[in-house]
Amino acid sequence: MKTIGKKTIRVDGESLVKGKPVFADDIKLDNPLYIKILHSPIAHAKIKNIDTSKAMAMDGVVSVYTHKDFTKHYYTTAGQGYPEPSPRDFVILDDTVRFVGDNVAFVTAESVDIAENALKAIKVDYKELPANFDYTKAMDSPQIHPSEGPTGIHDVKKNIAANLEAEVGNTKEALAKADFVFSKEYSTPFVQHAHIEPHITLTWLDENGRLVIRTATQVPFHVRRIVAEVLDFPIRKIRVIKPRVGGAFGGKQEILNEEICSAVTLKTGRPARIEYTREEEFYAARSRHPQRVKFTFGLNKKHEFEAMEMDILEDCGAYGPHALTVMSVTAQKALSLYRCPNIKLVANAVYTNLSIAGAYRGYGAPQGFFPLESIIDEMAIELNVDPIELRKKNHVRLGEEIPIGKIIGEGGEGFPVIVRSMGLTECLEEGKKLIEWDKIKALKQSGVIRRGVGVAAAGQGSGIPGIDMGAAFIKMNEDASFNLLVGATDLGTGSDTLLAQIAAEALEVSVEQIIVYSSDTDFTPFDKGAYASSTTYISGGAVKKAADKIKAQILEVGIKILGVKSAKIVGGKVIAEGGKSLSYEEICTKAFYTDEQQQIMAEASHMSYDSPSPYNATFADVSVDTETGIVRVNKVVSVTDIGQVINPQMSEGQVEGAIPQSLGMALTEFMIFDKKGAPINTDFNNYHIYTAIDMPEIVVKFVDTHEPTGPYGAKAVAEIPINGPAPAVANAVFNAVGVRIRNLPITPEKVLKGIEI
Amino acid sequence: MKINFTLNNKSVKTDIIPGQTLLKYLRKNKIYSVKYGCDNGECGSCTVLINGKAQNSCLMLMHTVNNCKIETIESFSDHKKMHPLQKSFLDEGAVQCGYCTPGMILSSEALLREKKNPDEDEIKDALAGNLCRCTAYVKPIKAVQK
Amino acid sequence: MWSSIREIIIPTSFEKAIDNKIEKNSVFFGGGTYLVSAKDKNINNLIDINNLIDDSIELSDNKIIIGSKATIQQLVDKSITKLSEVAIFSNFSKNIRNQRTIGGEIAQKNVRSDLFTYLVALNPQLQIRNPKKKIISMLEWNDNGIIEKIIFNKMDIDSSGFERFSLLQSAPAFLMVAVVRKGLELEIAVSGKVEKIFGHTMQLDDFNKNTLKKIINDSVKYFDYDHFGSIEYKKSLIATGIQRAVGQI
Repeated sequence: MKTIGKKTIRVDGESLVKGKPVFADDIKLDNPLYIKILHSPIAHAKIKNIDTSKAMAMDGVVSVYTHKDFTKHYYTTAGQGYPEPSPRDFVILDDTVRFVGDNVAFVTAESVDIAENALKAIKVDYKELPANFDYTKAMDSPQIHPSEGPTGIHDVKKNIAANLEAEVGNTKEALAKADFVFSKEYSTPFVQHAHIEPHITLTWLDENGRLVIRTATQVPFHVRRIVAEVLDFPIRKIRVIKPRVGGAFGGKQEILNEEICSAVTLKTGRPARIEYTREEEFYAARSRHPQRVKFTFGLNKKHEFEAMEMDILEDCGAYGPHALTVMSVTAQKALSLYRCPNIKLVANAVYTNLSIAGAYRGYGAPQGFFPLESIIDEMAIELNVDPIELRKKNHVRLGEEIPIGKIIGEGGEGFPVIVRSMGLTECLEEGKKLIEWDKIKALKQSGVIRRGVGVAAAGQGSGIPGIDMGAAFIKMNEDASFNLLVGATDLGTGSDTLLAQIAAEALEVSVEQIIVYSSDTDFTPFDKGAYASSTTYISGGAVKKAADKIKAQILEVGIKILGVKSAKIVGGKVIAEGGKSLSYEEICTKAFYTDEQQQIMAEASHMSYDSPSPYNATFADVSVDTETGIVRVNKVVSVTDIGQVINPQMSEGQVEGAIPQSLGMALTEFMIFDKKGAPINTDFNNYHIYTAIDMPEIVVKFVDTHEPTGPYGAKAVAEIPINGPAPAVANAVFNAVGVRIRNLPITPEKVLKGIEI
Repeated sequence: MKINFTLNNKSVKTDIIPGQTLLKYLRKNKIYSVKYGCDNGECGSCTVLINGKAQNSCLMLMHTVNNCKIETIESFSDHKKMHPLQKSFLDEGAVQCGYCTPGMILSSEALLREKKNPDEDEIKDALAGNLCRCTAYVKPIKAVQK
Repeated sequence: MWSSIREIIIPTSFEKAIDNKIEKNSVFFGGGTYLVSAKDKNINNLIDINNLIDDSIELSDNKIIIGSKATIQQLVDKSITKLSEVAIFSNFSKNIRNQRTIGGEIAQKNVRSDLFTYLVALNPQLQIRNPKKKIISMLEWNDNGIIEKIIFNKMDIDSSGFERFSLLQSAPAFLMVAVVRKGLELEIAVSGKVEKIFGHTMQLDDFNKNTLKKIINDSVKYFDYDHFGSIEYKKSLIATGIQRAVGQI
C-alpha cells in the first residue's frame, strides 16, 4: 500500500506549527457581548429570589438572565445521538441549584471584566437544602431531581439516574460449583480532562439572519440539533463550525455553553462570546464518573473463568449526561475481554450534589479495567500462577462470539460481537520483553526504594454498533486533486489526515492530492462526532466507500471518453486494453469542459453493527519509597493491536498521550471537595498534571493484525491506551512492596500504611 | 503611559492600559498564536520570547516590556520558509491539537539559542513550563533533539 | 486583565518609592509573577521598583550577595549548590524562573514555596532601603521598605539539607523540610500544604530522639488532615524529611 501504514505529515500541521489563527477564539467579533456565568456557591438550594438590579445598573452591563427569562425545558447536555440515552434532567437556568458550580444566572456585558465584576453585584437568596456528597448513600438521600418535569430518570425518588442489568447463563450455580471464588471491591475517583484550550464558544447572526455557532466541540451536529431544541429555533437556520480544537478527550462531547451563547445572540441580535476560565473548567465543566465496582469470579481447577459477576455503582454528580452509557461501556468492555460462560451485571448510576460527570476518554472502560485487571492479578497471586499466563489462558480468541456484546450495547441492547482480529497474546508477550519483566521480577531487593513491575490487558471498541454513522463527500478537480468533505471531527486526533490517507489510498493518489474540510454543518455531511473511537472505523469506512465510488466514476467516464469497451485504473491513469489511456487530470478537465460533461463526485455513509475491539497490554515499572510511600513510575510499555496502522506517528501519539492521563488517575490527579461540596483544587498547581520533567520512559509498539471489517483492516486507537496504565501501576506497586490498593488514587499514605502492616 | 518595544522585528509605540497583560494586548492585536490556557502562569500556552528568554505573557504587565524585544511564532516563518524547529515538530509528529505547540517551539528556541546541543534533561527542563495533554511530551522532545 | 490597576508609578529614587507607598491600595512591583497571577482587586497602584534594584550575583569566599532583582533562573545558572537546586523545586517552569525574582519571593512569603521555606531556615541578611539603608535578618524584617540585596553566608548554604515530598517531581510539595547548620546551631523549617511555616532553632548538641519527637509534634500542628494524608502520616514524613535533610549536610 502506498499511503496506509506510511509516515504521513499531518495535513493541518503547517497551520499549527506556524501559530495561525485557526482556533475558535482566533477571530475578532464585531461589537460582541461577553458572557459570564454566576455559579452557585452552595451544593443544594432553592433560589428564593434573585436581585439583579445592582448588576444591571453597572456601566457596560447589558443584561442579566435568570431562570425567569427561560421557559422550563428539560434536555440533556450530553452530545449524543437522538434520542439521547441520557436523562433529560437539565434546564438552561433552573430555580434550584444542585452542586457548587451550577448555573444561577448569566451576565452579558461589553467586556469580560465588566461581566465578571457584575457577577458579584447579583444578590441571590438561597434556601439551603440537604446535600449528599457520598454516592454510596445516594439512594437513601434526599431526592435531588423533581418527580415532575425531567424524563428518562430511572428512579428519581431514589436518585438513580440509570440502571442496567444483564445476565448470561447462571452465575449463581456456576459460583456454587466453582473450585475457586474471588470477590473484591474497587473504586476510581473524579478526574479531569484538563485540555489546555478551555471551553469556548462564539455565536453571531450572519448576513441572512442565520445563527452561526463557532465552538470548540466534538459533536457539531449534536450541538446544532440540541441548540435548536432548547431555544426552539429551526435547525435550518443554524450553522455550527468546529475550528481547530485544543484538546477535548470527551470534555467537549457536550452542549456546554453553546445554548447559552446562542440564546444571547438570538435575544439581542449581537455576536456573543463565552469562554470558561481555567477555574471554571475544574468545577463547572465535566469530569470522569467515579465508580465503585465489585467483581466476583469463579474459576475451575484449570484456572478458567466459569463465572463473572460485576456490580457497578456510578456517581453522576448532580446531573446525568452519559450516565447510562458510561457504565454500559464499563460493563461491556470489561466483560468482553475474557471468555466466561456465566456473566451477571448489575449497574446503577446515582445522583449526588457534586460536579457533573460526563464523557472522558475511555468512557467507563478505565473504571472497569482498573478493577478487572487488579482482580485478575490478585487471583493469579492467590493461585500462584503467572499473571500474564492467566490472562493468556482466558482471553477471548479469534473467531469467538462474545456473549455479553449482544446484551449490552451502549445503553440498551447490543449486537452480536464476533472477534475477527485479535493480537492480545502478542501484545502481552512483546510487552513483557520490552519492560524486562523477568529481570525486574528477579531483582534481589533491599534498601529504601523497591522496584516492581505490573501488567494490565484491555479492550475497547470501534464506534457504537448500530448507532454511529459518518458520511463523506468527495469531488474531483482538474489537477486530480479531490475535495474531501467529512463531518468527522478532528480534535487534534489527526482524523483529517487519517481520512485523507484512506481516500488517497483508495483513489491511488498521494495524500497531497486530498484537500480535507471537516465539521461544518452547512458543508460537510453528517457525522456523529468524535467519540467512542469511531472516526477511523466508521468515518473512515464512509470515506473509503465514497472514494471507491469516485474511482468507479473516473473509470466509467474515462471509458466513455476513450470510446472503449473496458479499461483499468493503474497509477492515476485509465488504461484501455488497446493501449489508449487518459490521466486523471485529462479525464476531469474534459469532464468539466468538453466531453461527457459532469462533475465527478460521490458520497457515502457508513455505519456498522460491528465494533471490533482493539486490544492492548500495558506494563508499568515503578519504584516505591518504603519510607514515604511515594510511588514513581520509571517506565511504561504499551503494546496495542489496532489492526492495520494507518498513520504510525499519529497512532503512537495517541497511545503516548493517553498514558499520563491514566497515570494521573492512578497516582496524582483527583478532584477534592470540601465538606460543603465545594471543589478545592481548581488550578493547575493544585490539580497537577504531568509535565515534561515528570514523564517516565514510554515505549509504544503495535502488533500486526488485520480487521476484515475495518477500512484497510484498521480498528480504533484513540481510547484504548488509557485503560491499562492505572491497573498496571497498581499491580506493579503490589509487586514492589506487597501492598494492594483497591481505591484510587494510590496515595503515599495508603501505600505506607500497607507496608507497615 | 507610552511605551516602545519591537514585536516580531517591527517597532511599536503605544499607549498602555495599566493593568493589561501582554497576553491580552497580543491577542487584541491579532497575535493569535499566543494562547489563553490558565491566566496564571501555570500552563505556558501564552509563552513569548522577551529578549530571547521564554516567559509567560499572561503574567507580564505592558509597562514591563518597554524597550524589550518581543518575539512570537508569527516571526518564525513566512509563506516560503519555516523555522527548523517548526519543520522538526511536523516531521516528528509532535503536533496533535497544536494548542501548546507555539509555546513549546518558543521555549525550545530559547534553549537552543543558549545551548546548541542540549541533552534530554535540559530539553525537559526547558519544556516543563509548557503543559500538554495530547502528546505526553514524547515526540516534542524528540523534535527538539533533532 | 488586572482591571483594578489605575496607575503605574516608576519612581526614580528609593525616597520617592517609599513616599508613593504611603497611599493605601498600592504595592511595590518587582518581577510581578505573584502579583499578576493573584490580580488582587484591592490594589490600584503599582510602584515599579525595577529601576532602583539590580540583579547582580557576587560570589566571594564566604558570602553570596544577590541583588533583589535577580531572577530565579539567574540563581539557577550560577549553580550555587543547594540554593540553585531548591530554587528549581518550586519553580519547575523555566518561563516562571525567567521572570520571578528572589526579592519578590521573599516579599511574597509564599509558604508553599520550596525556595521560601529554605530561605526561612537560612535566614539570610537583607539590605533594606526604607529609604535609608539597613541590614536586618529576613525573619526580623517587618515588611517595611524595599529589599535591595540578599546576603548569604556561603557556609550556611554548604551545610544545609532540603527534602521535599510531592506526588510528582513538578508538583507543589505537600510537605518539605529544610535544615541548616549554623555553627553550633541547627535551623529547621517545615512547611508544605500549610498556612504558616514552622521554624525552629536548636543547639546541635540537643538534637536527639526526644527533641526530634517534640519538633515533629510541634510542626505537625501546622498541617491539616487532608487528601495528602493523616496527621500520623505527616508526622512520619516530617521525621523522614528531617533525617534525610540532616543526612545531606
